[in-house]
Amino acid sequence: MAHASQSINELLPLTPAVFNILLALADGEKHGYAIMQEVEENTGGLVKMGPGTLYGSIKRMIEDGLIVENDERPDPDLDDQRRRYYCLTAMGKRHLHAEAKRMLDQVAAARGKGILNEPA
Amino acid sequence: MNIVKSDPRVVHFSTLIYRLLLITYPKDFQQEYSSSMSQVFRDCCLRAFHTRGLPGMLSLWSLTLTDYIESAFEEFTRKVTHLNLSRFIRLSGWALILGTAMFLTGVLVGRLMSWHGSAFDPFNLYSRPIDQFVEVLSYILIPSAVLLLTIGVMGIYLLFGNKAGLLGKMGLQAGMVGGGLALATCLGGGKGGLTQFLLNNQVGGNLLWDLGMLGMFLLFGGIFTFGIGAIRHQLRSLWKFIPLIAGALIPLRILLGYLQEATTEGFYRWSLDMQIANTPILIITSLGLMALGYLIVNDAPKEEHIVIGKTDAPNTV
Repeated sequence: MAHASQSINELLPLTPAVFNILLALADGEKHGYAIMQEVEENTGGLVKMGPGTLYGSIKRMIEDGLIVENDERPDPDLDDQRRRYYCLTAMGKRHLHAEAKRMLDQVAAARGKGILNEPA
Repeated sequence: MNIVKSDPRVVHFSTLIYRLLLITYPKDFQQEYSSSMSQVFRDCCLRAFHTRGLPGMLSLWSLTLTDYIESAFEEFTRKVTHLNLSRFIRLSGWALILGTAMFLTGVLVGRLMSWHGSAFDPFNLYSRPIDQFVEVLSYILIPSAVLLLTIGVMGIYLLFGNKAGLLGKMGLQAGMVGGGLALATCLGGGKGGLTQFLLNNQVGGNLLWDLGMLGMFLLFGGIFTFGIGAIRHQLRSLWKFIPLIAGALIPLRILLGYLQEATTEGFYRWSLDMQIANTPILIITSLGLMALGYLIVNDAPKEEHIVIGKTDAPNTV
């Protein structure tokens, strides 16, 4: 975790992949495939991550201290024990919050200019 | 990860092929994540196959291949350059210039060789000993040139890939794949390979030749496509037509060669009139490539550490 002490501004704005992975993990730990499915669901199918992008992002997010791998394995009756589970760190939560707020500010700016009132 | 034998056959083979692709990732990334990636891919296959059948599998593969090219390239460049992409981009500009010079020299040497007869002809007095030396030299020059040109395209990708839109980016990806294919054909072909044909102007007609030509078509066509993307996304400067100049003529020449062959019922690719056209094609393409290399050398970002997609390179193509 070479960059675990990075300030929030250094990593913002987050890439869509990183933001979506953080968002998928916001309500608890998940394994890779579950993250992928949730990202697809959250974005209405617009963002489809392949395994390369997913695990490349996960690797860098672990290096940046945004997420960690959970060493505890699930009950073998409930899930495949080979699956690796990931969860947010406190820093990951802060970054997710900051990025969501940044997006909200941008939406507010767009709303202020009447963009959202116009038909698309 | 173990592949489950009870999986549908298409899922089973897809997972096997994907596991083979994973070998090309950097070793440490592979050791850490290939098992998980392969497991996730299998899950995706099962879902795609059970919900949408074969069309679903095709759609999944198209997504996966794009993802594979992008992520493998990203992991590889991160690994090799240790994020010091600035230096790599600058070197890739020099690679483009040097590669062009080597390509021209290689072809010129090959012409010299073909005028004096083949080095493999033991009855030709011109053949020895000079042509043997020249031939060895040419076999080094052409593959090295293709390798350097491919590195040059990598540099363009890193510098401008994210600024030239999807079309430009895909063009450069195709260029890199094409360069790899052409290089493999040069190295793997021996006497039947691309180098032999380029040098000796022999007619082809075999798979290796066609693959080599496909590689060259993709390599230069990729640069041309990137040029279109660059113009569409208004990467402004006096240099904006350079990628078009560098990439247009060789794919056109290859297409014309195949067209002629198809319409004249014979191997006409390297016939005399086409050879006359080759000279201006080579000169114009070389000038374009060298100018592009010069542009990259000058516009490589000054920062010591840059991240793919966040380069601050000026919009200059």
